[in-house]
Amino acid sequence: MIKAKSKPIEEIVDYITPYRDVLIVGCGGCVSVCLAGGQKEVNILQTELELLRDKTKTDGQFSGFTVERQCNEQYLGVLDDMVETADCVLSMACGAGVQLLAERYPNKPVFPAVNTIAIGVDLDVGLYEERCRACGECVLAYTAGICPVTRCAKGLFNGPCGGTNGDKCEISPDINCAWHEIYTRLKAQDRLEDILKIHPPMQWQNQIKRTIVQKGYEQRYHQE
Amino acid sequence: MTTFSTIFSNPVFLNFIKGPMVWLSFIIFGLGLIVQTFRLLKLTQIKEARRVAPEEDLSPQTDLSGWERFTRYLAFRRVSVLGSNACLVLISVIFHVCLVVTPIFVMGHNVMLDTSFGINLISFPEQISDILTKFVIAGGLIFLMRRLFLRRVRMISTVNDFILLFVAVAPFLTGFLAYHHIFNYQVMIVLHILCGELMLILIPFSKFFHMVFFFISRFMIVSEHSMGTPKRSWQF
Amino acid sequence: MGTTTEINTDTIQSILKQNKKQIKLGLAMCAHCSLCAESCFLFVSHDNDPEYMPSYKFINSIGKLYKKKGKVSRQVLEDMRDLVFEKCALCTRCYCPFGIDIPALITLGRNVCRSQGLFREYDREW
Repeated sequence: MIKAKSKPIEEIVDYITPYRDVLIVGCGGCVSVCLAGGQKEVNILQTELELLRDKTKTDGQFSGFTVERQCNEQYLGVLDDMVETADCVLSMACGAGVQLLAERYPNKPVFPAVNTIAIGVDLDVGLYEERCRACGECVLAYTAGICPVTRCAKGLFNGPCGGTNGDKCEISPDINCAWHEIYTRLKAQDRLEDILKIHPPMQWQNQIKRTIVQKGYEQRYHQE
Repeated sequence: MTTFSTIFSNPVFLNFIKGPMVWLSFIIFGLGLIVQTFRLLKLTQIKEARRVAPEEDLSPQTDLSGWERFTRYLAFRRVSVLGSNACLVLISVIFHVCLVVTPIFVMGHNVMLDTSFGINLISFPEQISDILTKFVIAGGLIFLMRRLFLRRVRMISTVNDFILLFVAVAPFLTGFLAYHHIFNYQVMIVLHILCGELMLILIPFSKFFHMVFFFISRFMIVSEHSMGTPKRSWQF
Repeated sequence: MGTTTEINTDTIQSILKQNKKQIKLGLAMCAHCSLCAESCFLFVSHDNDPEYMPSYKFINSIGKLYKKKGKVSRQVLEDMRDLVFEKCALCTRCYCPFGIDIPALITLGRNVCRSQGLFREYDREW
Protein backbone atom coordinates (compact mmCIF):
# COMPACT_ATOMS: atom_id res chain seq x y z
CA MET A 1 0.00 0.00 0.00
CA ILE A 2 0.96 3.63 -0.12
CA LYS A 3 3.21 4.68 2.73
CA ALA A 4 3.21 8.20 4.07
CA LYS A 5 4.83 10.13 6.85
CA SER A 6 3.50 13.12 8.75
CA LYS A 7 4.84 16.54 7.92
CA PRO A 8 6.69 18.53 10.56
CA ILE A 9 4.18 20.37 12.73
CA GLU A 10 5.78 23.73 11.94
CA GLU A 11 5.04 23.29 8.25
CA ILE A 12 1.41 22.45 8.96
CA VAL A 13 1.01 25.42 11.28
CA ASP A 14 2.44 27.60 8.52
CA TYR A 15 -0.29 26.44 6.12
CA ILE A 16 -3.21 26.98 8.45
CA THR A 17 -2.16 30.18 10.22
CA PRO A 18 -4.26 32.50 8.04
CA TYR A 19 -7.40 30.43 8.60
CA ARG A 20 -9.74 30.30 11.55
CA ASP A 21 -11.73 27.07 11.49
CA VAL A 22 -9.87 24.00 10.28
CA LEU A 23 -11.36 20.63 9.35
CA ILE A 24 -8.86 17.77 9.65
CA VAL A 25 -9.85 14.85 7.43
CA GLY A 26 -8.39 11.40 7.97
CA CYS A 27 -8.43 8.41 5.65
CA GLY A 28 -9.23 4.80 6.54
CA GLY A 29 -7.15 3.43 3.69
CA CYS A 30 -3.40 3.22 3.20
CA VAL A 31 -2.47 5.98 5.64
CA SER A 32 -4.46 4.32 8.41
CA VAL A 33 -2.62 1.06 7.91
CA CYS A 34 0.80 2.72 7.96
CA LEU A 35 -0.14 4.75 11.06
CA ALA A 36 0.19 8.12 9.34
CA GLY A 37 -3.28 9.53 8.78
CA GLY A 38 -5.99 7.46 10.42
CA GLN A 39 -8.52 8.50 13.03
CA LYS A 40 -5.95 8.28 15.81
CA GLU A 41 -3.52 10.53 13.94
CA VAL A 42 -6.33 13.01 13.25
CA ASN A 43 -7.02 13.18 16.98
CA ILE A 44 -3.36 13.57 17.87
CA LEU A 45 -2.86 16.32 15.28
CA GLN A 46 -6.00 18.07 16.46
CA THR A 47 -4.72 18.03 20.04
CA GLU A 48 -1.32 19.39 19.02
CA LEU A 49 -2.75 22.16 16.87
CA GLU A 50 -5.32 23.17 19.49
CA LEU A 51 -2.62 23.44 22.11
CA LEU A 52 -0.40 25.50 19.83
CA ARG A 53 -3.29 27.82 19.11
CA ASP A 54 -4.00 28.13 22.84
CA LYS A 55 -0.37 29.07 23.37
CA THR A 56 -0.49 31.83 20.79
CA LYS A 57 -4.01 32.82 21.76
CA THR A 58 -5.22 32.48 18.19
CA ASP A 59 -8.91 32.07 17.46
CA GLY A 60 -10.56 29.26 15.61
CA GLN A 61 -12.04 25.81 15.92
CA PHE A 62 -10.58 22.48 14.92
CA SER A 63 -12.72 19.51 14.00
CA GLY A 64 -11.74 16.07 12.80
CA PHE A 65 -13.44 13.38 10.74
CA THR A 66 -12.19 10.20 9.12
CA VAL A 67 -13.66 8.79 5.94
CA GLU A 68 -13.26 5.33 4.51
CA ARG A 69 -11.09 6.54 1.63
CA GLN A 70 -10.32 9.95 0.20
CA CYS A 71 -9.44 8.63 -3.24
CA ASN A 72 -13.02 7.86 -4.14
CA GLU A 73 -15.79 10.48 -4.34
CA GLN A 74 -18.51 8.17 -3.07
CA TYR A 75 -17.02 8.46 0.42
CA LEU A 76 -16.65 12.23 0.38
CA GLY A 77 -20.31 13.25 0.40
CA VAL A 78 -20.47 13.04 4.18
CA LEU A 79 -17.86 15.82 4.38
CA ASP A 80 -19.79 18.42 2.38
CA ASP A 81 -21.55 20.13 5.29
CA MET A 82 -18.44 20.10 7.45
CA VAL A 83 -16.28 21.60 4.72
CA GLU A 84 -18.89 24.29 4.13
CA THR A 85 -18.49 25.60 7.69
CA ALA A 86 -14.70 25.31 7.76
CA ASP A 87 -12.27 27.93 6.51
CA CYS A 88 -9.79 25.40 5.27
CA VAL A 89 -9.28 21.63 5.09
CA LEU A 90 -6.23 19.73 6.31
CA SER A 91 -6.12 16.30 4.72
CA MET A 92 -4.14 13.42 6.17
CA ALA A 93 -4.56 11.28 3.08
CA CYS A 94 -1.98 10.54 0.43
CA GLY A 95 -1.44 12.99 -2.40
CA ALA A 96 -4.23 11.41 -4.40
CA GLY A 97 -6.78 11.94 -1.65
CA VAL A 98 -5.69 15.53 -1.05
CA GLN A 99 -6.16 16.30 -4.72
CA LEU A 100 -9.58 14.74 -4.94
CA LEU A 101 -10.67 16.80 -1.94
CA ALA A 102 -9.25 19.94 -3.53
CA GLU A 103 -11.16 19.16 -6.72
CA ARG A 104 -14.41 18.56 -4.90
CA TYR A 105 -14.06 21.78 -2.90
CA PRO A 106 -12.36 24.17 -5.30
CA ASN A 107 -13.30 27.20 -3.24
CA LYS A 108 -11.71 25.94 -0.05
CA PRO A 109 -7.97 25.73 0.61
CA VAL A 110 -7.00 22.09 1.03
CA PHE A 111 -3.63 21.34 2.64
CA PRO A 112 -1.70 18.07 2.95
CA ALA A 113 -0.70 17.01 6.46
CA VAL A 114 1.45 14.10 5.36
CA ASN A 115 4.14 13.49 2.78
CA THR A 116 3.36 10.58 0.48
CA ILE A 117 6.55 8.56 0.31
CA ALA A 118 6.15 5.35 -1.62
CA ILE A 119 4.35 2.19 -2.55
CA GLY A 120 5.81 -0.23 -0.08
CA VAL A 121 5.58 -3.23 2.16
CA ASP A 122 5.06 -3.65 5.89
CA LEU A 123 8.25 -5.02 7.40
CA ASP A 124 6.97 -4.70 10.94
CA VAL A 125 4.60 -2.52 12.95
CA GLY A 126 5.71 1.02 12.22
CA LEU A 127 8.43 -0.08 9.78
CA TYR A 128 7.82 0.21 6.06
CA GLU A 129 9.99 -0.05 2.98
CA GLU A 130 9.55 1.29 -0.53
CA ARG A 131 9.37 -1.43 -3.12
CA CYS A 132 7.64 0.11 -6.10
CA ARG A 133 7.87 3.41 -7.89
CA ALA A 134 4.94 2.91 -10.24
CA CYS A 135 7.10 3.19 -13.31
CA GLY A 136 4.41 1.54 -15.40
CA GLU A 137 6.78 -0.97 -17.00
CA CYS A 138 7.19 -3.73 -14.51
CA VAL A 139 10.27 -5.85 -15.23
CA LEU A 140 10.03 -8.01 -12.13
CA ALA A 141 9.48 -11.05 -14.32
CA TYR A 142 13.10 -10.81 -15.51
CA THR A 143 14.70 -9.75 -12.28
CA ALA A 144 13.46 -12.51 -10.01
CA GLY A 145 11.08 -10.15 -8.24
CA ILE A 146 13.71 -7.57 -7.32
CA CYS A 147 12.93 -4.12 -8.63
CA PRO A 148 15.93 -2.44 -10.26
CA VAL A 149 14.15 0.91 -10.21
CA THR A 150 13.77 1.11 -6.44
CA ARG A 151 16.59 -1.14 -5.34
CA CYS A 152 19.39 -0.06 -7.68
CA ALA A 153 20.77 3.39 -6.93
CA LYS A 154 21.31 4.02 -10.63
CA GLY A 155 18.13 2.29 -11.78
CA LEU A 156 20.12 0.10 -14.13
CA PHE A 157 18.34 -2.45 -16.24
CA ASN A 158 21.04 -4.68 -17.55
CA GLY A 159 23.33 -5.75 -14.77
CA PRO A 160 25.45 -4.02 -12.17
CA CYS A 161 27.61 -1.00 -12.74
CA GLY A 162 31.40 -0.98 -12.38
CA GLY A 163 31.12 0.29 -8.84
CA THR A 164 29.59 -2.86 -7.43
CA ASN A 165 31.55 -3.64 -4.32
CA GLY A 166 31.37 -7.34 -3.51
CA ASP A 167 27.68 -7.60 -2.86
CA LYS A 168 27.24 -4.01 -1.78
CA CYS A 169 26.37 -0.87 -3.67
CA GLU A 170 29.21 1.60 -4.10
CA ILE A 171 27.23 4.39 -2.49
CA SER A 172 26.95 2.73 0.91
CA PRO A 173 28.17 -0.42 2.65
CA ASP A 174 24.70 -0.81 4.13
CA ILE A 175 22.95 -1.16 0.78
CA ASN A 176 23.06 -4.46 -1.04
CA CYS A 177 23.82 -4.38 -4.74
CA ALA A 178 20.42 -5.10 -6.29
CA TRP A 179 21.99 -6.75 -9.31
CA HIS A 180 24.02 -9.07 -7.14
CA GLU A 181 20.79 -10.14 -5.45
CA ILE A 182 19.02 -10.49 -8.78
CA TYR A 183 21.81 -12.65 -10.11
CA THR A 184 21.86 -14.83 -6.99
CA ARG A 185 18.14 -15.42 -7.01
CA LEU A 186 17.90 -16.07 -10.74
CA LYS A 187 20.77 -18.51 -10.49
CA ALA A 188 19.01 -20.39 -7.69
CA GLN A 189 15.94 -20.64 -9.92
CA ASP A 190 17.99 -21.53 -12.97
CA ARG A 191 16.73 -18.53 -14.89
CA LEU A 192 19.90 -16.62 -15.68
CA GLU A 193 18.95 -16.29 -19.37
CA ASP A 194 16.38 -13.68 -18.31
CA ILE A 195 19.07 -11.12 -17.67
CA LEU A 196 21.26 -12.20 -20.54
CA LYS A 197 18.73 -10.56 -22.86
CA ILE A 198 19.31 -6.85 -23.29
CA HIS A 199 16.39 -4.84 -22.04
CA PRO A 200 15.69 -1.47 -23.63
CA PRO A 201 15.94 1.58 -21.38
CA MET A 202 12.93 2.43 -19.32
CA GLN A 203 10.53 4.87 -20.89
CA TRP A 204 9.99 6.55 -17.51
CA GLN A 205 6.25 6.76 -17.96
CA ASN A 206 5.84 8.02 -14.41
CA GLN A 207 7.04 11.51 -15.32
CA ILE A 208 3.61 12.57 -16.59
CA LYS A 209 0.15 11.97 -15.20
CA ARG A 210 -1.22 8.63 -16.40
CA THR A 211 -4.81 7.53 -16.77
CA ILE A 212 -5.65 3.89 -16.26
CA VAL A 213 -8.62 2.26 -17.96
CA GLN A 214 -9.10 -1.27 -16.74
CA LYS A 215 -9.62 -4.11 -19.17
CA GLY A 216 -13.27 -4.42 -20.15
CA TYR A 217 -14.05 -0.77 -19.55
CA GLU A 218 -12.59 0.66 -22.76
CA GLN A 219 -15.98 1.09 -24.41
CA ARG A 220 -17.42 2.90 -21.43
CA TYR A 221 -14.77 5.58 -21.26
CA HIS A 222 -14.09 5.79 -24.98
CA GLN A 223 -14.05 9.38 -26.16
CA GLU A 224 -15.54 10.22 -29.57
CA MET B 1 -34.83 -34.45 55.95
CA THR B 2 -31.64 -33.32 54.31
CA THR B 3 -31.61 -29.61 53.97
CA PHE B 4 -28.86 -27.27 52.96
CA SER B 5 -28.14 -26.51 56.59
CA THR B 6 -27.78 -30.20 57.28
CA ILE B 7 -25.23 -30.57 54.50
CA PHE B 8 -23.57 -27.31 55.42
CA SER B 9 -22.90 -28.49 58.96
CA ASN B 10 -21.93 -32.03 58.03
CA PRO B 11 -18.36 -32.44 59.28
CA VAL B 12 -17.25 -34.72 56.44
CA PHE B 13 -18.45 -32.21 53.85
CA LEU B 14 -16.87 -29.33 55.74
CA ASN B 15 -13.55 -31.06 56.10
CA PHE B 16 -13.57 -31.84 52.42
CA ILE B 17 -14.20 -28.31 51.20
CA LYS B 18 -11.83 -26.80 53.73
CA GLY B 19 -9.13 -29.34 53.07
CA PRO B 20 -8.66 -31.40 49.91
CA MET B 21 -10.93 -29.20 47.83
CA VAL B 22 -8.83 -26.13 48.60
CA TRP B 23 -5.71 -27.95 47.48
CA LEU B 24 -7.48 -29.21 44.40
CA SER B 25 -8.73 -25.76 43.46
CA PHE B 26 -5.32 -24.18 43.79
CA ILE B 27 -3.67 -27.01 41.87
CA ILE B 28 -6.17 -26.74 39.03
CA PHE B 29 -5.76 -22.95 39.12
CA GLY B 30 -1.96 -23.12 39.04
CA LEU B 31 -1.55 -25.94 36.53
CA GLY B 32 -4.38 -24.55 34.44
CA LEU B 33 -2.67 -21.18 34.21
CA ILE B 34 0.62 -22.77 33.21
CA VAL B 35 -0.95 -25.03 30.58
CA GLN B 36 -3.07 -22.25 29.10
CA THR B 37 -0.07 -19.90 29.02
CA PHE B 38 1.98 -22.43 27.10
CA ARG B 39 -0.87 -23.00 24.67
CA LEU B 40 -1.14 -19.26 24.17
CA LEU B 41 2.58 -18.80 23.59
CA LYS B 42 2.50 -21.57 21.00
CA LEU B 43 0.26 -19.34 18.91
CA THR B 44 3.03 -16.75 18.75
CA GLN B 45 6.47 -16.73 17.23
CA ILE B 46 9.65 -14.94 18.13
CA LYS B 47 10.16 -12.00 15.85
CA GLU B 48 13.07 -9.79 16.70
CA ALA B 49 12.72 -6.19 15.58
CA ARG B 50 14.82 -5.38 12.53
CA ARG B 51 17.59 -2.89 12.89
CA VAL B 52 17.56 -0.44 10.02
CA ALA B 53 19.98 2.20 8.80
CA PRO B 54 17.67 5.00 7.74
CA GLU B 55 18.58 8.50 6.65
CA GLU B 56 17.23 10.16 9.78
CA ASP B 57 18.35 9.80 13.36
CA LEU B 58 16.23 7.17 15.09
CA SER B 59 17.47 7.64 18.66
CA PRO B 60 14.51 8.05 20.99
CA GLN B 61 13.76 11.58 22.03
CA THR B 62 14.62 11.86 25.67
CA ASP B 63 14.81 15.61 25.89
CA LEU B 64 11.16 16.52 25.46
CA SER B 65 10.22 19.91 26.76
CA GLY B 66 7.49 20.20 29.37
CA TRP B 67 5.22 21.54 26.65
CA GLU B 68 5.85 18.53 24.43
CA ARG B 69 5.21 16.17 27.31
CA PHE B 70 1.95 17.90 28.07
CA THR B 71 0.91 17.74 24.44
CA ARG B 72 1.65 14.02 24.30
CA TYR B 73 -0.26 13.43 27.49
CA LEU B 74 -3.32 15.28 26.24
CA ALA B 75 -3.15 13.52 22.89
CA PHE B 76 -2.87 10.19 24.69
CA ARG B 77 -5.94 11.01 26.74
CA ARG B 78 -7.84 11.78 23.57
CA VAL B 79 -6.89 8.77 21.51
CA SER B 80 -6.77 6.10 24.16
CA VAL B 81 -9.58 4.34 25.91
CA LEU B 82 -8.81 6.59 28.89
CA GLY B 83 -10.27 9.42 26.88
CA SER B 84 -13.30 7.79 25.39
CA ASN B 85 -14.26 5.72 28.43
CA ALA B 86 -12.42 7.34 31.31
CA CYS B 87 -15.06 6.50 33.93
CA LEU B 88 -15.23 2.83 33.10
CA VAL B 89 -11.46 2.45 32.91
CA LEU B 90 -11.08 4.04 36.32
CA ILE B 91 -13.79 1.84 37.83
CA SER B 92 -12.28 -1.22 36.20
CA VAL B 93 -8.80 -0.48 37.55
CA ILE B 94 -10.12 0.01 41.08
CA PHE B 95 -12.22 -3.14 40.80
CA HIS B 96 -9.31 -5.26 39.57
CA VAL B 97 -6.82 -3.95 42.11
CA CYS B 98 -9.24 -4.59 44.97
CA LEU B 99 -10.14 -7.99 43.53
CA VAL B 100 -6.53 -9.14 43.60
CA VAL B 101 -5.40 -7.40 46.76
CA THR B 102 -8.29 -8.19 49.10
CA PRO B 103 -7.99 -11.99 49.30
CA ILE B 104 -4.24 -11.79 49.86
CA PHE B 105 -4.29 -9.32 52.72
CA VAL B 106 -7.55 -10.16 54.48
CA MET B 107 -7.21 -11.11 58.13
CA GLY B 108 -9.51 -14.11 57.94
CA HIS B 109 -7.41 -15.89 55.32
CA ASN B 110 -4.08 -15.02 56.88
CA VAL B 111 -5.08 -16.30 60.32
CA MET B 112 -5.86 -19.65 58.71
CA LEU B 113 -2.59 -19.63 56.79
CA ASP B 114 -0.72 -18.95 59.99
CA THR B 115 -2.56 -21.67 61.92
CA SER B 116 -2.15 -24.26 59.18
CA PHE B 117 1.29 -23.57 57.78
CA GLY B 118 2.89 -20.94 60.00
CA ILE B 119 2.95 -18.52 57.07
CA ASN B 120 2.85 -15.03 58.46
CA LEU B 121 1.49 -12.57 55.90
CA ILE B 122 0.71 -8.94 56.57
CA SER B 123 -3.00 -8.26 56.83
CA PHE B 124 -4.98 -5.09 56.37
CA PRO B 125 -7.05 -3.82 59.26
CA GLU B 126 -10.50 -5.32 58.90
CA GLN B 127 -12.14 -1.98 58.13
CA ILE B 128 -9.85 -1.59 55.13
CA SER B 129 -10.60 -5.07 53.83
CA ASP B 130 -14.25 -4.27 54.31
CA ILE B 131 -14.01 -1.12 52.19
CA LEU B 132 -12.05 -2.94 49.48
CA THR B 133 -14.68 -5.66 49.39
CA LYS B 134 -17.38 -3.03 49.01
CA PHE B 135 -15.46 -1.61 46.03
CA VAL B 136 -15.45 -5.02 44.39
CA ILE B 137 -19.17 -5.52 44.95
CA ALA B 138 -19.94 -1.97 43.77
CA GLY B 139 -17.76 -2.48 40.70
CA GLY B 140 -19.59 -5.70 39.94
CA LEU B 141 -22.90 -3.93 40.24
CA ILE B 142 -21.76 -1.20 37.87
CA PHE B 143 -20.63 -3.81 35.34
CA LEU B 144 -24.00 -5.52 35.68
CA MET B 145 -25.93 -2.29 35.12
CA ARG B 146 -23.75 -1.49 32.16
CA ARG B 147 -24.34 -4.87 30.61
CA LEU B 148 -28.08 -4.64 31.13
CA PHE B 149 -28.70 -1.04 30.14
CA LEU B 150 -26.11 0.00 27.59
CA ARG B 151 -27.22 -1.20 24.18
CA ARG B 152 -23.73 -1.48 22.79
CA VAL B 153 -22.73 -3.88 25.59
CA ARG B 154 -26.03 -5.73 25.67
CA MET B 155 -25.79 -6.46 21.95
CA ILE B 156 -22.69 -8.56 22.36
CA SER B 157 -23.48 -10.08 25.76
CA THR B 158 -24.27 -13.69 26.41
CA VAL B 159 -25.61 -15.62 29.42
CA ASN B 160 -22.00 -16.61 30.10
CA ASP B 161 -21.10 -12.99 30.79
CA PHE B 162 -23.71 -12.68 33.53
CA ILE B 163 -22.79 -16.02 35.07
CA LEU B 164 -19.08 -15.22 35.15
CA LEU B 165 -19.70 -11.77 36.61
CA PHE B 166 -21.62 -13.45 39.39
CA VAL B 167 -18.88 -16.06 39.89
CA ALA B 168 -16.31 -13.27 40.21
CA VAL B 169 -18.26 -11.19 42.70
CA ALA B 170 -19.79 -14.07 44.69
CA PRO B 171 -16.74 -14.82 46.86
CA PHE B 172 -16.60 -11.17 47.87
CA LEU B 173 -20.33 -10.88 48.44
CA THR B 174 -20.53 -14.07 50.49
CA GLY B 175 -17.38 -13.13 52.41
CA PHE B 176 -18.87 -9.75 53.18
CA LEU B 177 -22.18 -11.24 54.32
CA ALA B 178 -20.43 -13.88 56.43
CA TYR B 179 -18.11 -11.38 58.09
CA HIS B 180 -21.01 -9.13 59.00
CA HIS B 181 -23.10 -12.09 60.15
CA ILE B 182 -25.89 -11.18 57.74
CA PHE B 183 -28.08 -14.24 57.13
CA ASN B 184 -26.91 -17.58 58.55
CA TYR B 185 -23.15 -17.43 59.14
CA GLN B 186 -22.57 -21.12 58.56
CA VAL B 187 -24.39 -21.07 55.23
CA MET B 188 -22.60 -17.92 54.12
CA ILE B 189 -19.15 -19.12 55.03
CA VAL B 190 -19.66 -22.44 53.26
CA LEU B 191 -20.95 -20.61 50.19
CA HIS B 192 -17.93 -18.32 50.40
CA ILE B 193 -15.57 -21.27 50.36
CA LEU B 194 -17.43 -22.93 47.51
CA CYS B 195 -17.60 -19.71 45.44
CA GLY B 196 -13.92 -19.07 45.99
CA GLU B 197 -13.03 -22.58 44.87
CA LEU B 198 -15.31 -22.34 41.85
CA MET B 199 -13.73 -19.06 40.80
CA LEU B 200 -10.21 -20.43 41.15
CA ILE B 201 -11.06 -23.46 39.05
CA LEU B 202 -12.75 -21.41 36.36
CA ILE B 203 -10.02 -18.78 35.97
CA PRO B 204 -7.73 -20.65 33.54
CA PHE B 205 -10.62 -21.94 31.43
CA SER B 206 -12.81 -18.91 30.92
CA LYS B 207 -12.46 -15.28 29.93
CA PHE B 208 -10.96 -14.73 33.40
CA PHE B 209 -7.75 -15.93 31.80
CA HIS B 210 -7.36 -12.34 30.61
CA MET B 211 -5.46 -12.13 33.88
CA VAL B 212 -2.48 -13.59 31.99
CA PHE B 213 -3.49 -12.88 28.40
CA PHE B 214 -3.53 -9.14 28.99
CA PHE B 215 0.10 -9.07 30.06
CA ILE B 216 1.32 -11.42 27.36
CA SER B 217 -0.35 -9.55 24.53
CA ARG B 218 0.48 -6.09 25.88
CA PHE B 219 4.13 -6.70 26.72
CA MET B 220 5.25 -9.66 24.67
CA ILE B 221 3.48 -9.38 21.33
CA VAL B 222 4.31 -6.49 19.05
CA SER B 223 1.46 -4.30 17.84
CA GLU B 224 0.53 -0.66 17.62
CA HIS B 225 -0.70 -0.83 21.20
CA SER B 226 2.03 -2.88 22.78
CA MET B 227 4.33 -1.49 25.46
CA GLY B 228 8.01 -2.00 26.13
CA THR B 229 10.05 -4.07 23.66
CA PRO B 230 7.97 -7.06 22.67
CA LYS B 231 9.80 -9.84 20.88
CA ARG B 232 6.89 -11.86 19.59
CA SER B 233 4.21 -11.65 16.97
CA TRP B 234 1.13 -13.72 16.26
CA GLN B 235 1.79 -16.74 14.13
CA PHE B 236 -0.21 -17.08 10.94
CA MET C 1 -21.15 -11.98 -9.85
CA GLY C 2 -21.07 -15.75 -9.42
CA THR C 3 -24.12 -17.70 -10.41
CA THR C 4 -23.78 -20.48 -7.95
CA THR C 5 -25.77 -20.29 -4.74
CA GLU C 6 -24.39 -23.53 -3.40
CA ILE C 7 -22.35 -23.26 -0.27
CA ASN C 8 -19.30 -25.44 0.00
CA THR C 9 -19.37 -26.31 3.69
CA ASP C 10 -16.20 -28.37 3.38
CA THR C 11 -14.18 -25.36 2.29
CA ILE C 12 -15.56 -23.25 5.10
CA GLN C 13 -14.85 -25.97 7.62
CA SER C 14 -11.33 -26.36 6.36
CA ILE C 15 -10.65 -22.65 6.81
CA LEU C 16 -12.16 -22.80 10.28
CA LYS C 17 -10.13 -25.87 11.13
CA GLN C 18 -6.84 -24.36 9.96
CA ASN C 19 -7.38 -21.33 12.17
CA LYS C 20 -9.32 -22.97 14.93
CA LYS C 21 -6.95 -21.94 17.72
CA GLN C 22 -6.87 -18.26 16.81
CA ILE C 23 -10.63 -18.10 16.42
CA LYS C 24 -11.22 -19.92 19.68
CA LEU C 25 -8.78 -17.65 21.50
CA GLY C 26 -10.39 -14.49 20.18
CA LEU C 27 -13.88 -15.63 21.05
CA ALA C 28 -12.90 -16.92 24.50
CA MET C 29 -10.88 -13.88 25.52
CA CYS C 30 -13.42 -11.32 24.39
CA ALA C 31 -14.92 -9.95 27.59
CA HIS C 32 -17.72 -8.27 25.63
CA CYS C 33 -16.74 -4.95 27.13
CA SER C 34 -17.23 -2.81 23.97
CA LEU C 35 -14.13 -0.72 24.69
CA CYS C 36 -12.96 -1.39 21.14
CA ALA C 37 -15.74 0.77 19.75
CA GLU C 38 -14.16 4.21 19.79
CA SER C 39 -11.01 2.99 18.08
CA CYS C 40 -13.01 2.23 14.94
CA PHE C 41 -13.36 5.34 12.79
CA LEU C 42 -16.41 3.84 11.10
CA PHE C 43 -18.12 3.50 14.48
CA VAL C 44 -17.35 7.12 15.25
CA SER C 45 -18.31 8.43 11.83
CA HIS C 46 -21.59 6.49 11.78
CA ASP C 47 -22.87 8.14 14.90
CA ASN C 48 -21.68 5.47 17.31
CA ASP C 49 -23.78 2.75 15.63
CA PRO C 50 -22.90 -0.38 17.66
CA GLU C 51 -23.02 -2.58 14.56
CA TYR C 52 -19.67 -1.04 13.65
CA MET C 53 -17.99 -2.11 16.89
CA PRO C 54 -15.01 -4.32 16.09
CA SER C 55 -16.20 -6.88 18.66
CA TYR C 56 -19.68 -6.99 17.15
CA LYS C 57 -18.15 -7.46 13.71
CA PHE C 58 -15.93 -10.38 14.50
CA ILE C 59 -18.39 -12.09 16.85
CA ASN C 60 -21.15 -11.98 14.25
CA SER C 61 -18.99 -13.01 11.33
CA ILE C 62 -16.26 -15.56 12.03
CA GLY C 63 -17.71 -16.09 15.53
CA LYS C 64 -21.11 -17.07 14.22
CA LEU C 65 -19.51 -19.30 11.62
CA TYR C 66 -17.39 -21.02 14.24
CA LYS C 67 -20.33 -21.63 16.56
CA LYS C 68 -22.37 -23.11 13.72
CA LYS C 69 -19.36 -25.21 12.67
CA GLY C 70 -19.52 -23.72 9.18
CA LYS C 71 -23.01 -25.00 8.46
CA VAL C 72 -24.77 -21.81 7.50
CA SER C 73 -27.21 -20.60 4.91
CA ARG C 74 -26.35 -18.26 2.08
CA GLN C 75 -28.21 -15.46 3.86
CA VAL C 76 -25.93 -15.75 6.88
CA LEU C 77 -22.91 -15.53 4.59
CA GLU C 78 -24.33 -12.49 2.84
CA ASP C 79 -24.95 -10.79 6.17
CA MET C 80 -21.39 -11.68 7.07
CA ARG C 81 -20.18 -10.17 3.82
CA ASP C 82 -21.91 -6.95 4.73
CA LEU C 83 -20.17 -6.90 8.10
CA VAL C 84 -16.65 -7.72 7.01
CA PHE C 85 -16.51 -5.95 3.67
CA GLU C 86 -18.90 -3.01 3.96
CA LYS C 87 -18.82 -2.27 7.66
CA CYS C 88 -15.09 -2.81 7.99
CA ALA C 89 -12.29 -1.15 6.02
CA LEU C 90 -9.63 -3.46 7.49
CA CYS C 91 -7.63 -0.40 8.41
CA THR C 92 -6.17 -2.60 11.21
CA ARG C 93 -6.33 0.12 13.85
CA CYS C 94 -8.86 -1.49 16.19
CA TYR C 95 -7.87 -1.53 19.83
CA CYS C 96 -8.73 -4.27 22.28
CA PRO C 97 -7.88 -3.77 25.98
CA PHE C 98 -6.82 -7.40 26.12
CA GLY C 99 -4.93 -7.37 22.86
CA ILE C 100 -7.08 -9.66 20.76
CA ASP C 101 -5.99 -9.45 17.12
CA ILE C 102 -9.31 -8.35 15.67
CA PRO C 103 -8.10 -7.57 12.12
CA ALA C 104 -6.86 -11.14 11.80
CA LEU C 105 -10.32 -12.45 12.64
CA ILE C 106 -12.00 -10.09 10.18
CA THR C 107 -9.51 -11.26 7.56
CA LEU C 108 -10.54 -14.86 8.24
CA GLY C 109 -14.15 -13.81 7.79
CA ARG C 110 -13.23 -12.27 4.45
CA ASN C 111 -11.37 -15.42 3.44
CA VAL C 112 -14.45 -17.51 4.10
CA CYS C 113 -16.64 -15.12 2.13
CA ARG C 114 -14.25 -15.14 -0.80
CA SER C 115 -14.12 -18.91 -0.77
CA GLN C 116 -17.85 -18.89 -1.37
CA GLY C 117 -17.73 -16.30 -4.12
CA LEU C 118 -18.81 -13.41 -1.90
CA PHE C 119 -16.70 -10.29 -1.84
CA ARG C 120 -16.87 -6.57 -1.92
CA GLU C 121 -18.34 -5.38 -5.18
CA TYR C 122 -15.76 -2.92 -6.29
CA ASP C 123 -17.45 -2.75 -9.68
CA ARG C 124 -20.77 -1.65 -8.26
CA GLU C 125 -22.13 1.63 -9.67
CA TRP C 126 -21.67 4.71 -7.53
